[in-house]
Amino acid sequence: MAKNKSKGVILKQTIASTLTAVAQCTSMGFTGAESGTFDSTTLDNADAFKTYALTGYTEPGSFEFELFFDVGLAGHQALTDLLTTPANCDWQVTHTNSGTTTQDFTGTGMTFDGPTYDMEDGVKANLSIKITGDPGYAT
Amino acid sequence: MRARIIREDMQLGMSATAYPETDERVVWKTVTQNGRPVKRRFWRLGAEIEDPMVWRLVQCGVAIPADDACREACGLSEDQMAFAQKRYEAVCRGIAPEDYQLFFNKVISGYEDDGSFKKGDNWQAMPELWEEPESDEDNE
Repeated sequence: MAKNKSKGVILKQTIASTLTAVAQCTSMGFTGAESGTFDSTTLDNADAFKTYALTGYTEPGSFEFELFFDVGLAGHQALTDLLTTPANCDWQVTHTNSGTTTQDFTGTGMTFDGPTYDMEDGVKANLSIKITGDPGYAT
Repeated sequence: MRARIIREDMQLGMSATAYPETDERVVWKTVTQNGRPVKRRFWRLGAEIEDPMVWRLVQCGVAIPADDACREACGLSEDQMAFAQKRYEAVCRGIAPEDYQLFFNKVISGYEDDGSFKKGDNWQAMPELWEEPESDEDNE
């Protein structure tokens, strides 16, 4: 059991089949994973509460991250390459636990908000990667 | 277009099926994944790889051009390549951008598990980074 720091977490993106670290990230995380359900409520329900049942499928969710965007940095240009040439991409997060566990997943489709220019902040970009298949959670 | 890998820690993406285990450029290493040791494919140091995007690897600082097409596509001078390689060392160690200069000057080598600085070879150039902050009582 440990309270791991976020400081030092590393995100890697595949470039030419090679996992390559993404620089200047300020936050990142997995979101939206959900085991699918359907409304199984029937008219002859015994009480007022609706019921749900598992579909057997799981929504893998997305991986979102924010970074100080450097338009001249090759690693950041590689991110926008996914907009100009859409393609599936392998990603990897290296956790900061003592065993430096890695979590691998495949992204398909990306939302890229940025670069944004704010008087009170540096130039930033927010990205969201749609995960396809297993998000690679430790089991 | 071809480039040569210059780091030993460059792992292949899990979908990189074009490089089977019999490929001499690939070496298997044990990493921790899902909390368990598993074998994963890494590029052998000096592996020459061919891909339309290898010039990006050169720009990122993890490879050097192995042909004229790659050299032209990456558009970097030797000095720029050297800087990209130095910067990647910081990026892949998870160094925060505000700490890059400390890392480049070898004052720090990374972070401890608690997030504090890990001493580099030149840590004595800035020993104050490891000094305990004075408590309010000391100031009174």
